[in-house]
Amino acid sequence: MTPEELIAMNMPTDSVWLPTAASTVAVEAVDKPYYLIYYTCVVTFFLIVIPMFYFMVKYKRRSPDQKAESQADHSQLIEIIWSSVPLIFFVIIFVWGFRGYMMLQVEPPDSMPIYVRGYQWGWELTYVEDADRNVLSESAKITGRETFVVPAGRPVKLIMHSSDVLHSFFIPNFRQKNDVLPGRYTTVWFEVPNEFAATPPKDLKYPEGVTSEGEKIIYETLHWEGGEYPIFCTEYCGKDHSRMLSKFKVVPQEQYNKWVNAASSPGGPSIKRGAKIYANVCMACHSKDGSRVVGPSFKNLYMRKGKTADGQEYVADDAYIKQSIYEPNRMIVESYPPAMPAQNLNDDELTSIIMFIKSLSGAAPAEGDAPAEGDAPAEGDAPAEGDAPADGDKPADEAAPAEGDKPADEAAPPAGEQAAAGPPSAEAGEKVYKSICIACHSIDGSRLVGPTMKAMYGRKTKGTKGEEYVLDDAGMKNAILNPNANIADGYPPAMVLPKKLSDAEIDSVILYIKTLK
Amino acid sequence: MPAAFAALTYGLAFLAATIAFKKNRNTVFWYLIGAVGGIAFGAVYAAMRNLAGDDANMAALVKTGLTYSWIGPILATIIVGVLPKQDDPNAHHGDEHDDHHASYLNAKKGVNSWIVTLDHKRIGLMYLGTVLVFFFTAGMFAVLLRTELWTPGELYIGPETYNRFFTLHGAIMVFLVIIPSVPAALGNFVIPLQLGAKDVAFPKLNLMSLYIFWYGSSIALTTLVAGGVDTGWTFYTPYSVKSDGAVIMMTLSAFILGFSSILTGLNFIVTIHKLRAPGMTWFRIPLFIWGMYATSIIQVMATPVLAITLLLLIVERSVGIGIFNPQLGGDPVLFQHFFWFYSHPAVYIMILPGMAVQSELIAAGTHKRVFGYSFVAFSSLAIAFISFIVWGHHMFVSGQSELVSMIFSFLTFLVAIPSGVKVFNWIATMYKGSIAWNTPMMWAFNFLFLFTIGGLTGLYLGTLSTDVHLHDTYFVVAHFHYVMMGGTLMTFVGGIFYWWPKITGKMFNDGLGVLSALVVFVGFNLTFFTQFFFGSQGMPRRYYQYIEQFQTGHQFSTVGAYILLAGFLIALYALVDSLRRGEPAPDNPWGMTTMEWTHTATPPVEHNFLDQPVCDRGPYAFDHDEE
Repeated sequence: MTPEELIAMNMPTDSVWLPTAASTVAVEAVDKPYYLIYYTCVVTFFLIVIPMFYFMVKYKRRSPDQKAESQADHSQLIEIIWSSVPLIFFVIIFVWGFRGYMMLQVEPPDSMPIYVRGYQWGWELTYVEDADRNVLSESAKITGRETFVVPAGRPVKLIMHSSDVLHSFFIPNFRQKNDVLPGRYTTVWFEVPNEFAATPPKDLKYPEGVTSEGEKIIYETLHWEGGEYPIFCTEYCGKDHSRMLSKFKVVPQEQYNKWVNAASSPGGPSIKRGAKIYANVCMACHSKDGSRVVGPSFKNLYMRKGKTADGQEYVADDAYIKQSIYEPNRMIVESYPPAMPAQNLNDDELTSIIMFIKSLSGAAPAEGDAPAEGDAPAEGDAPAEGDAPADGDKPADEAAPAEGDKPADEAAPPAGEQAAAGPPSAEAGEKVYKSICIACHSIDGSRLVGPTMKAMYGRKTKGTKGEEYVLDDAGMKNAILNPNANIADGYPPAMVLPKKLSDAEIDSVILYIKTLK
Repeated sequence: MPAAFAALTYGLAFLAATIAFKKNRNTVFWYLIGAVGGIAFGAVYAAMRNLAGDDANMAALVKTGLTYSWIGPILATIIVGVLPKQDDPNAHHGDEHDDHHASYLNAKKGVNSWIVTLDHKRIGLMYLGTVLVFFFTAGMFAVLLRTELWTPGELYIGPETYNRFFTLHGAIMVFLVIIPSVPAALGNFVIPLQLGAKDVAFPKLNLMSLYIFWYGSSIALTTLVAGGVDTGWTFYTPYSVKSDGAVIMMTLSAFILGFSSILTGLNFIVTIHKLRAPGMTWFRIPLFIWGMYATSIIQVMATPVLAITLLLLIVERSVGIGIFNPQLGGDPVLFQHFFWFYSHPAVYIMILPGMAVQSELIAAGTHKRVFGYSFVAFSSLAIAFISFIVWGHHMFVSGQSELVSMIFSFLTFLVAIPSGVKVFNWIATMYKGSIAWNTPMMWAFNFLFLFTIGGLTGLYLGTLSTDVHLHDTYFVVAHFHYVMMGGTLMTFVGGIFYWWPKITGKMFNDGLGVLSALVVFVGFNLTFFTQFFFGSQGMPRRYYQYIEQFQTGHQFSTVGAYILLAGFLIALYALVDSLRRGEPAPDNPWGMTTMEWTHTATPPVEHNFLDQPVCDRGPYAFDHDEE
């Protein structure tokens, strides 16, 4: 969203004091104690201020030598009364507040998990389940100052961490807030009753370019009417703290299920997508018209030659841009501050942003570079391919090693449980894979935290200690039961299982891996 | 690292000035030593940094080194320049007998007689001047901020400037205005007078804390030109570790100011224990003294924690020890615990002196004994004690455990009781009094009204569930402005007006004083009461840009800020005007009963009392003279 759109955002409200209470516990937990305190305050205030004004007028000194009528200066009884009566009120308020606080803190056991990552300056929500509790085949990840879709009528639990500084996740309408910390998870939960959900749009027209079924569902969901609740960042986090606004779009369960499946299908890189990423992420510090903001402008940046702060020469090619995004402080352009936070973009997004930057360069890419069609998807460009691990490594390198673990930790157990029933089968193994292994092992040959499972079965592998081992049934079983006994060379000893797998589950997984030729 | 340069060169400059003065040698020589030392240090330091493999390049480091190295010597030039050639401060005490009856303002002349004075009244006055300068500086930032918030988007400054402005507003107001305002400025002037003492217990220590205060505040001022700070006055990690800007310089300044605070507190505690006039028992000291006593205890006990915290932050930033950095196994929330362990008691360092002044204003304004003297006195001590165990209520949504939050919430309610007791007692004091409608009393009414609102809205924030919603919104902003500004600043200004005749020997225009109080009252409520509304609605604090539906509220608030500014300017005018045109003040213009009014001249002589006064009655014995 642009700054203008952020300003125009609307928060539903129906009173001068509190905004509309759009979650199940808001009224009971917060609004009732709030108004109890409110009336206590109003009464106490007048009990203090009315006598004050009355005495001011009644006992006004009308002549300079007018004496006070009385010099009475103490009364044990009165002191005890006005110390203890407030104390009684305070205890009542305290108890009620504590009760509400526990309602806000303790989420119902069947809450739907959504992972939230805060960064300077936006949120990234990763969806791993649909509202009917099915584990998604591919997680949906929405990044930026975006509209995040959540289902009504089902408790949602946000599992939050930050990849840089402190943030705080605040939804006024849900009366919920918690700081988002680096290196630690905090949670917030809410359930929006169905009557506060959005309603289907009337005669919706799809704009040009929205053609596929998935795009239509996404577009339609975002254009349902109402049900929008803003999200503020309330812990000061730097320059664009006040622009770190997003909103929830609350839709009925069925619509949410449709949306999350559509959103999780990969869209592929495009300039348009790059422009969107630019608006959400880069725009705060990089202009596209040549003017200097915090960092260099993107205009004519592509293939530009220059010097870094410590005197090295660089060419702003794909690899350089990619490195600048993942490790922003490695090569700082001369005369600019080392102020850029590392960006967590996936390959598609990265390619999109490079395409976008390229589109801002008037002249055709000069000297020696591959022709335009060659580098669009960045294939054949060795660094890009070779760098792919960077994406997977990053969670391990950076603040949150837990990132790799998290789907396993939090989301997996229920799915794993389901998979445990019945005799071993490749299908059951696939379920286990999707609930646990998928976090770190790909099935398409790409490198994540751990080695890919594609053609893993029977593979001869060299370990970090120079030993050789074969991943046959026994080898695999060993690798699952004692993950760190043999570590494939070049990989970190990072494997953790969220729970002990049963023999049947292990057999199922091995069967499944066998199918991945 | 510019901060290290600044600190050291300032230190060297001060040293040079002191030596030059003490030795009565050629001042230029010592100045040169200071200058060369400063530059040499800058250069050596830069070289070492470069050898240590720091990424920043040599040229840039040397350049910064030189920039900051020069500031010190320039300062030395100024100080050495204004000092007359020879003057031994100790020489004054013996010889000038004929000046015994002259007021402290006229007893000695010349810049030097002020800079190296050991007279608590002159030191207090210099504090007062400094604090007022900072008050208007930080106030200016407040008005600039409110102006930008007139529109939801950009009006005239960008987000980075805005963030720097609110940080400076907060940091200057807290560390350079409110904390030293009543204790260092008014306390210094009034405490020995009220106790019947010649001076504070350690006059040289007193002068030293003033120097430390100037030293710390000059570093804070340098921050303004060295790029500013954008962390907020709370310096929360990890942002304060990552942010560029002169964070170290600002924290160093707060670190140094802390020592001034500690020394002043220590001085007051000893003074109150040891220098009371004969016959002045603990229950005959004015309530102002009780409040200052409680404040001093907190200052001495809590400020070292802040010093440690800021030092850790400085080390974290410069060396990266990782105590607050999760990537190195640290914990950012630990910083918040450390910080609030000082800063919550500091809230009471700020408000207790306000309450202390309030008791005097009410007694003088009603000509009546303060109701429940012992309850008011002991409530100060109770607040001082409980204030140490409530810091966690700033952190209900920081990720601390539910149990801890519950305990802190409960303790927070306990601290509200003694504050409430004070308010009730002040109101009861007014009953059947003889209430003057004059300037000091109008400011006291402002305090009663505004502090009541500030205190009551604290209930929302001490209650766990409502705080989850209100934390870090404008509701909090409004609440603490009602307490800090509506509380402390109202009585600070009230106290200035109240003691002004004693300080300067001049009466101010009472009509102007009353007008200023009324204008401030209107402006204040317009500015901050509106913030309760949009704060409750969820408007977060420290927002440069906000959603459109809050605009009306923000505009009311901005208009209020300008009215508030006008009010304070009227007050300033009334004071300055009195110096030029004011009537000479009588010894006891308010008909008050405490010793600074009954036993001293206006303005007091250099040693306060011509003879040692003896105390034979309570502080507010208004009925005594009838006998």
